[in-house]
Amino acid sequence: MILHTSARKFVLAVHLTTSVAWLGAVAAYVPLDLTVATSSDPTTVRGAWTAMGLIATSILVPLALASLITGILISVGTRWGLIRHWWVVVSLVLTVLAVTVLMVERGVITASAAIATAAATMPEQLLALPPTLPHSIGGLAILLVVQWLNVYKPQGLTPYGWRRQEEERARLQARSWARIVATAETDET
Amino acid sequence: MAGDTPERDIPRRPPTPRWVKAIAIVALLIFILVLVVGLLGGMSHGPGMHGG
Repeated sequence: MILHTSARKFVLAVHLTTSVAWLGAVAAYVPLDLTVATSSDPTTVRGAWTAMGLIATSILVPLALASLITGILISVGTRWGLIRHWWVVVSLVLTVLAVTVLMVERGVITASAAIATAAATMPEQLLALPPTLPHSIGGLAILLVVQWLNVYKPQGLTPYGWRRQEEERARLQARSWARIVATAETDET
Repeated sequence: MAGDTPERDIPRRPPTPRWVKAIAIVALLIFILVLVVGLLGGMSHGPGMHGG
């Protein structure tokens, strides 16, 4: 199912926009997470958790899902394919991992943000809320690796990709031979 | 025999690229590290961790 040029460009535009925006949103989330981890001011920590909750639910989750879905569409809809090239496979695996961790962490973030914004929460409880640093920094690292793969597209066919390439090569060769034979027969007559 | 393709002409699948193996090894090491840290420190995380 090869996408038409205009459809391919549209899906690619959406994919690039959502992927880069996802990376930017995580980059904005990390300093807030660091603030939660290092600050001893309850007001600052409360503000950071409020922002983290909003970023996670309103920005990170929609962008992550859109990036994953459009990435699959653009792979399936072009000659790159979803499992022919190693850079696509590794990008897909890392993106699925990042989205899965995000969906699990979203619950933790919203719960912590709700506690932080509750009027009854004491400052000691607020400062005791654990940050999500391993996940946010890990997520940022994964997205940077995926971006590197998508820009540089390092060479390497998967076993399936190599088989498909050989099949297409054999098909093209057979067609060329058939054309040569047909031309030779036409010349003889 | 006539018609047999010499072994040198049979196309061979290229090996898995080194960068794929490197990423897989790094991912495995991180997974093991997370597993060890989780087992040593307890797997729970979130607001309930500190009894807050």
